[in-house]
Amino acid sequence: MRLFKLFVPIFLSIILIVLDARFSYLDSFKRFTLTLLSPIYLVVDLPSQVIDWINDKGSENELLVSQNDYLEGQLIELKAKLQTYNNLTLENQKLSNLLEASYLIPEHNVKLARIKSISQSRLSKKIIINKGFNDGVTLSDLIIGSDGVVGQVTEVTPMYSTVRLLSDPTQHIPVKNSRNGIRGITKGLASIDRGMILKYIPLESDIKLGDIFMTSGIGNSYPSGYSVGRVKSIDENQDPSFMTVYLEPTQNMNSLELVLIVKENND
Amino acid sequence: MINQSQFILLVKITILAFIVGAVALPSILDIISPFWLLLFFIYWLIYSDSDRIYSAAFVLGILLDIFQGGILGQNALALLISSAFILSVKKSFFVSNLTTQQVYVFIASLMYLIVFLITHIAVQGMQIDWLVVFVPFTGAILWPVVRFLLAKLNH
Repeated sequence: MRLFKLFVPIFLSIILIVLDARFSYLDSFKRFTLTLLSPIYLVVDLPSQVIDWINDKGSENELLVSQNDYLEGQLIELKAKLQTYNNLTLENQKLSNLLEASYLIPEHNVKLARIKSISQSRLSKKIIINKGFNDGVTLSDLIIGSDGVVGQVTEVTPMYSTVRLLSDPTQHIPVKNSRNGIRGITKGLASIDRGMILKYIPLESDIKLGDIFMTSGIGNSYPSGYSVGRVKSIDENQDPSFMTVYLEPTQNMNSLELVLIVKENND
Repeated sequence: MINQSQFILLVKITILAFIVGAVALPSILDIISPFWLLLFFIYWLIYSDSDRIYSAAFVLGILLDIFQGGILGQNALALLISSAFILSVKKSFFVSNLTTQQVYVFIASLMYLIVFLITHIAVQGMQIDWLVVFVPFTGAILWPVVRFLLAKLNH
């Protein structure tokens, strides 16, 4: 009887693992339960919120604080926009050399969010932001910082969203070299280096240390033109036909407080 | 059946385990931090005379899977197997000194880790930071602290 009591939940767990890995039947159940559990985020974040509140109260001029917050948001937004425009300028120059073409500048809606100091499962790299579907966040939205891509929204609750970092081993992003347009797909590395890897690049490809790879927009999963990583090293010995390129994220994740949620403007 | 006081303790330690597990730590500490829910559940398990231990382990594991955004059933399976081990040595655990208890916690954490990694590799491939092998050690080291704090919470 005791063994039966053990094997029934074990059997159920295995069924759930298979169902969750292969199908998406359980997604709405997971979303509903996560919404119920999300007050835990509030509790964890309470000490830092209390400290922020005390600091704000202690300030002589509240207006300055709010203006500072506003300007900080504006600055990060503008720096992020600048990334796109720099890449577009390069792209435009190349195209103009070939033919008299005009380039459509992509229009993206951005929304500011603050990172909650919460880490998640030890084998995946995720962060929580303080915006959820009440603020219009949807699954697969791109998250960027002032210097590049941070990751992608993987779970959404009314008040919070979970963002899988681009260095997570399960995260794949279509990219292209900003210098010559060579394309590839990045994959996060499981080590604590927070790096990415770019595989199956033909050996003769023109890739140099320091090259910047940005989102290519292929597959429409991500808006194009945002910096993803800088070439850190190139390995030509792993495979006789292809080179392996190691990238470091252009965005420093450690000093990140504010991020932008980017949406394609479909208007 | 789980009586009322045991149920309240279970709810308290579950919430506490989730909160402690959600606190942000530097990357290395985050990877080698113990399986908090397992440690807290072991404490509840050794003082519980309930016959619904496996059901409780299953539900808590599922909740943790959802909270961590992992594979549904992964923590549940690992917690069930570790709980089965602790139950098999429960009488010995109850009367053992702290060092022997730490050995039991180490073995339970190791079993948890093995099941956790097997399911992770089966579903997501060999994407592992090998620092994770230190988790059973940190679990065993921190067991006396967890036991002391939960005893305070219980009383």
